[in-house]
Order: sequence, then C-alpha cells, then structure tokens
Amino acid sequence: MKKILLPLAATLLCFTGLANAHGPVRQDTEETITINAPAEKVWGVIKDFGDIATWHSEVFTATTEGGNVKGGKRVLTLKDGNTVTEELKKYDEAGMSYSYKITDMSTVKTINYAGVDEKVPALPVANFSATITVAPQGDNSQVTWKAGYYRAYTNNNPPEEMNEATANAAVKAFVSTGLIDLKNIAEK
Amino acid sequence: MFTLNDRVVLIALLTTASTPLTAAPFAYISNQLADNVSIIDLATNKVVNTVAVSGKPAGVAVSPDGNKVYISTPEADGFAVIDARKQQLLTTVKTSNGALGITVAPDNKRLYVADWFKNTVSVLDASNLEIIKTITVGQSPSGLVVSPDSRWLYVANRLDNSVSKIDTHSLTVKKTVTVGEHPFGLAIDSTGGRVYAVNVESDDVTVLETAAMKSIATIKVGALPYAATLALNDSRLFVTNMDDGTISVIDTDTLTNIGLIEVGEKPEGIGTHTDDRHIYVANWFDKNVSVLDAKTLQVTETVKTDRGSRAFGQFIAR
Repeated sequence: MKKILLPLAATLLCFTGLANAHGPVRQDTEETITINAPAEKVWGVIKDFGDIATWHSEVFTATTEGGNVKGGKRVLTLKDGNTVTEELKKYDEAGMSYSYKITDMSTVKTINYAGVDEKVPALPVANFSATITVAPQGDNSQVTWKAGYYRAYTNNNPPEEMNEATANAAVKAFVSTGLIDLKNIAEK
Repeated sequence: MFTLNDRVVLIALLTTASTPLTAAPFAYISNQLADNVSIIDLATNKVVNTVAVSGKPAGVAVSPDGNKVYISTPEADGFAVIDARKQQLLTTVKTSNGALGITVAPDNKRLYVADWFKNTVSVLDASNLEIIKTITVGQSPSGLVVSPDSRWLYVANRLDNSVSKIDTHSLTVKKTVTVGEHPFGLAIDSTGGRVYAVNVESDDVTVLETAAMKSIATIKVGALPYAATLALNDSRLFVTNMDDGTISVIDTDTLTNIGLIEVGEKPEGIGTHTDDRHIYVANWFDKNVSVLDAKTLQVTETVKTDRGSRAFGQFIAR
C-alpha cells in the first residue's frame, strides 16, 4: 500500500508547491451596499489603503508601507491573529476606486489530505484580487466590492476546507461584514 | 414595376438574408461562471444569442468553415459542440476531467483537447468526434495552436515551462523547448514560422522560431499575461495582462513594445476579427468584451457578456 501511495504523494506535492496556479475555474464574489451619506464622505473613510483596520471590524490592526500608489502594501492582522498581506494594483482617486491583490497569508492550520500536508491559508483562497468602488447616487452613495480568486486547493478534487464553497463563503463573509461596517461608520 | 407577389418574395428574401443563420464572422465568448456562451455578431458588435453550456465553459475553438464551435467544459469532463448556424448546442463529448485548451486543425479534420490534470492531449476525428489517440505531453498542458498546413501542433506545458511541437502525422512529440515561467496562451503566425508563448509567471512572451524550435527573443509585458493574438498581417502582437487590466502591443518586426491599451479588469481570452484589424478581449471581471482597433490602438466599443468571460483559444473563425 505504501509503495502505491508514495508516487501519488510525490505528484501531488508538485502541485501544492505552486504559488499561483490557475485551475480551470476562477470564482467571483460581488457585493453592493447603499449608504445614506455622500460619496466623498464614504470615500474619505476607505481612501487610505493602509487604514482598513479603522473601518473593517474583522481586521484587528493593519500596517502599511508605500502609501496610496501602485505597489503600496498593507499587512492585515485579523481578529483571529492570522495575517494577510495585500498590494495595491490600481488607485483611482477621481473614480473613488482601488484594486489590490493578496500577496501572502499566514497558515491557519495544516491538514493531511490524500497523503499530503496541505496548508490552509488565512483566507481559504488562491490568487485573490479585488476592487472597491464608491459611486455617488444623488446625496447618497453605492459601494461595490468585488473579488476574483481560486479555491485554495489547486489540484483536482479538493478537501472541504479548501474547496470552492469554502472559498466563496469566506470571501462573501469578509466583504459583506466590511460593507456593513463601512455603512455604519459613514452614516454616523 | 413590382406586383404584390414580387414584393412578398423580395421581402422574404431580405428576411432570410438578415437572419443569423449565416456563418462567420461571430465571436463565441465562454462565460465560465454563467455556464453559457455569448455569440457576438462582429458586424454590429451586439450579442445576438446566448447558448447555455454547462460544465464551466472555458476553452473555445471555431471550425475553419465556421459551422461548429467547440467549447471545453472542465467540470463536465470534456467539451460541448455548438451548431454555429443554428446557434444551438449540438452535443457534448467526454474526454477527461481536466479539459481546458482546445483547438481545431485548419484542414478541419482533427480536434485537439489538452487535459490540465492528466498531462495529455486527446486527438479526435472532427467528423465523428472519436478519440484517435491520447498523447502524453508536459505538465498542465494549456494553450494549443496548429500550423496553417495542419502539419504541427504546439502545446504550452505550463508547469514544465516548455512548449512541445507535435507531429500530427505520427502523433508523437518531435521537440520540446524551454520558454518562460508558466506558459499559457499561444499564438501562431499565418506562415507557421513563429509561435508566441505567453508566460504567466515571468510576465513575458517567448518568441519561438518553429523550424528549429529555437527561442529568438523574450519580450517583457504586463503582470500575469494570459493569451495573445496577431493582427495587421502578423505585424502586431496583442497580449492580455490579467493583473494590470491592459493589453501590451508588440511590434513583431522589432520585437519591442509599442503600446499599452487599458481594457477591463482581468482580461483573458483575446482574438482577431476576420478583418485582421479589430481585436476582441474578454474581460473576466467586468463581464464584457473590449473591441480594439489594432491600427489606432484605441478601444472602440465594449460589449456586455456575462459572468466570468474567459474565451480561451481561437474564438473567432479564421
């Protein structure tokens, strides 16, 4: 039995070594919220890329370097102590929008699956990028936060902790919570 | 002088001519998360029909006569066939469970389907859709192109950082050459002399001379490039940069960058209109397609599609 499993494990190991695998299906999440406050005010809350901890309740602290320009970085420490490092890809002050991607994450836990140790990342996704945009709607505003990503497991037949449903639920929870937090702060 | 009957006949003729039952040119855009394919009429740049295709449609190949469209469906373990004249799903075919890259030979005799997980390319008879042979290639084969004379098949082996040249007579790998990191999309010129490999991880394009399978240049492009297409008599190469939301424009004579065009977010599949001048780009994140003018390097139009527009492969009939 062991002899049969070993080559399989070796093959799987090659796959898990990937930083940016493109399995066949990328996932998306898009959430929108209407906020009863002017767009400039809402934008004022989120405009500094490094200040996410001041408005998102799931983010405990955030450190930043580089500022609001392409290449600027922030490291989020989540409430559970896990970290997510993100980098600005696009910053559009006039359009009240910015795009970023996750470049690194801490490991929540390691699971053994198909004979291989798999690291489950802080956000159970791979190759994640997102855009947040504030759009004026008369005296109010509409905020859209959309994300594109793959499940954390890049090989075929994922374990539950790293499958698409888990990835989608985690992203939806993070984005929805953030938008509600933002609404609460901006409407004060 | 028309009689009433003549007019009826005339109207009937005009009506027939304007129905979408003609062949090319159309663009077939796979919308992976919506499980469908948007059919864009290239004369009007309007979506004239949407065909439901289950199994997360990704790769696209249009038969040279414009009659059939093959759509790889990784989650349905194979591909779907659309009748292009009726704009209806014709049949589905099982190959294996990581089907992604797909292409039809210019002579319309064979269909090639790469399997991402099994590291193989299935060769099918296009007339009966039966598998003739399954060829083992490198790891995670992705983009496929066939030479204009149908004699050679080129495969991007993504995890092996290589491109293989396959003899379509013997159906064996003739030569494999190292390119940049994680090649995904391939483009071939109209003489078959050059293949361009788009390297996702090294953010560049490897230019291969196919006769000797030698790399003659590596050209830097934007972040996470995905696929490429040629236009204006092969003089310009257009490359989608997923992470930047841009298209790099390369002069194929000097092999240098001559322009950068902003499109939508996560541009993936890219193809050239039969006029050899207009370029179509599927913007995955924006659920639309940008139309570019290869001469002026301007975006001329944006066509709304659906969730997860991918259109990986040759999605416009040549």
